[in-house]
Amino acid sequence: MTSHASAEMLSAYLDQQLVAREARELEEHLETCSQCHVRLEGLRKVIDNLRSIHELSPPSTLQQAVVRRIALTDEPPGLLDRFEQGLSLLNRQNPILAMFGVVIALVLFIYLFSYNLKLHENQNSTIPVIFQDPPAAIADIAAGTRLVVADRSLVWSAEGYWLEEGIDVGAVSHSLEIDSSAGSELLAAHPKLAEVAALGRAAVINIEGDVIRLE
Amino acid sequence: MAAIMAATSAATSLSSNPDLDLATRHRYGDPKAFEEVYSRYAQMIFNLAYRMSGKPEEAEDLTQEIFLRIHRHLARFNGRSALKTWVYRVTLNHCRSKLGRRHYPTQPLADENDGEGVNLVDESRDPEDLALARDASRQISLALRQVKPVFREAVVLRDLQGLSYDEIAEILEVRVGTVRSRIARGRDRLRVVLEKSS
Repeated sequence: MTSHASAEMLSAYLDQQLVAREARELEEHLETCSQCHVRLEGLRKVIDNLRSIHELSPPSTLQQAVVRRIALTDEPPGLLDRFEQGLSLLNRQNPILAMFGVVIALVLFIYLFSYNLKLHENQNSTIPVIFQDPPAAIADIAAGTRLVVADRSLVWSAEGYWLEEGIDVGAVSHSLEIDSSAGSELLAAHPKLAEVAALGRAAVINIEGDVIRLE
Repeated sequence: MAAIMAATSAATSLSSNPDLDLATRHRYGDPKAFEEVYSRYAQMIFNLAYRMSGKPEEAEDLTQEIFLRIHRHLARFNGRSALKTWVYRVTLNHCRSKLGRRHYPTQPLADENDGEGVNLVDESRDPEDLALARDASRQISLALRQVKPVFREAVVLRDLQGLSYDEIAEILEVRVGTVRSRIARGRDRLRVVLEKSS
């Protein structure tokens, strides 16, 4: 060793972390280099001082404080956490059963997802819109007649009621004054609706959910 | 309760890892499991928090928060490392995030009585030794505050917690060579500070 020893070398030497050859070379160097020797002794003193420090005991009230704090702030694990924990535990204890469980869960998920999708499609395709107390004058409307009422597209069904196309049931609730300007436009655009209005009973058309109410 | 005990019993009987069993018991709501974790690690956490913060009262707050974290996350302990290693990581991560740089003074705090009201040295020693030990303890505690946190962590884990280089490397998630370097730099900084102060 020609130059001075690094702090890393000296520190590792004190921890007996040097390989035999490195330790021997360092010891030879230390015999002739007072500067490195002083530094080594300084480091040794630091270590001795650190190791002479007595560990503190935590305050006796600390455990109670911890328990109290947990009771105040900690929330019980949610459903997903419990599922995840259970799966993780099962995975460690019985990986085959865990894999089987995952497959079952996946199949169930796909089934429910597709069922929901189908339901959604149904909701968005054709929804029956029923006139409450339908006037006789509209009973002979030809099947397939289309009518747009307050942005809702209606089709007169062969079964004798209006079907709504492409609109979610819960999303629309309109009230239209027949004698308002918008109502007049609507009646002008849709003669069949005008026929209803002409009966004098359709002063207001309320569309609520899947029901068109004539008042 | 019977279901919890049955599930816990089933779980523990299948595992050969006592740390994992402890986490499993906690997961199933066995309060004794957390009590055991507390009794195992309270002193270690408190001392580490004290050495990182430099103040006993702050160490107490930190220890409470760390146990809160442990209580929340112990169920997720996967047994890949020893529970002790995991607890050390939780402790250091919390100290780092909570204390930040502002709590690492680079100059000694002359108006602070380090460890005031806390027993820092073994009281059973003879009075002269005790006085010297107290003085040395106070000096080294003050000097530790002047060491950068990254080096201080390594020194505290090695010389105060008595961990091996391999254990420290696992806790800090660095290579052993890095641990060796950090310990050396921390100790050398302490040497300089102590030599200046004497």
